Amino acid sequence: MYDYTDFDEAFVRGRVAQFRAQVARRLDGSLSEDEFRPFRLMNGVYLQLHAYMLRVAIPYGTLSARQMRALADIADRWDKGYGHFTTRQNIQFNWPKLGDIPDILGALADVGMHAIQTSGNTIRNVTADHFAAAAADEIEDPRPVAELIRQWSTDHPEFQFLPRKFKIAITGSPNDRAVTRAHDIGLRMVRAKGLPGDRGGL
Amino acid sequence: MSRGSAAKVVTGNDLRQGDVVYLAANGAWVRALQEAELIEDVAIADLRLLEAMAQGGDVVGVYLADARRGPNGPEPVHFREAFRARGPSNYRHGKQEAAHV
Repeated sequence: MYDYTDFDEAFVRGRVAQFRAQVARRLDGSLSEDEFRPFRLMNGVYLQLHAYMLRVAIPYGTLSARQMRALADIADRWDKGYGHFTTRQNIQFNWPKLGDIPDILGALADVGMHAIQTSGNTIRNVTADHFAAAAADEIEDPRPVAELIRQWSTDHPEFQFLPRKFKIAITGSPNDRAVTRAHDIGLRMVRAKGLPGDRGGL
Repeated sequence: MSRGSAAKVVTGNDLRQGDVVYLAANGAWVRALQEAELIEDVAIADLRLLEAMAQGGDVVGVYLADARRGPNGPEPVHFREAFRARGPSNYRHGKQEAAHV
């Protein structure tokens, strides 16, 4: 699994602190809803029919036991004891209170997770075959490439204000379990002649 | 929202909890549609909406929803408002939770 570098750690912590200040300003009335909405959408917070919803990214669907326990702890402490895993490898908490969300983001940062770019018109969580690295038909594990795309697209200034949301999926297998064809960009690994050892390429 | 029905309620979501709320006749925000003020005069409804929006602060996304008079207070007209009033169809969560735990 990818481990956060010091830069990643500082970036995510910085975003949590920034959002904490934005929520405080919204709650004390110094930000209007129109001013606050873009800020919450940059941090995965929706206001839905019955409550707020927080969508947390699980990059290319890879989750450690420690992260899974942190998600469960968040559900117990700040939500109703459950979350909803989505088809795009996110988890959604359906009952968070606005004032608790900075603490939830802090708990996510403790285990190298966040809700950045899980909403809004930007490049969303990069998804991969859920059987990555365990599939018999796989040419190569797609997740290192997914990680490169994630790093490239996270906080990329050119892609923060797209006309609409934008989604990328990648698979290392001929069987399209990552549903790449339904994405804005679908990447599929193919075995290419001429590469050393007939290695896979994109 | 739709102008199809004469009667309206003022509704929105609570800023802190996200809950569906309605404006009562005394100007308080309440959780139950039955306790909302049913406003049958369109001009007064628009005025109440403006007042509610001017309050700012505690309630988000305020609008007028169609409603009709029922035996126990206002009732929803559109199914979306029925969902909002009743809470999620999974009764163990949301507004229906208290009655089922």
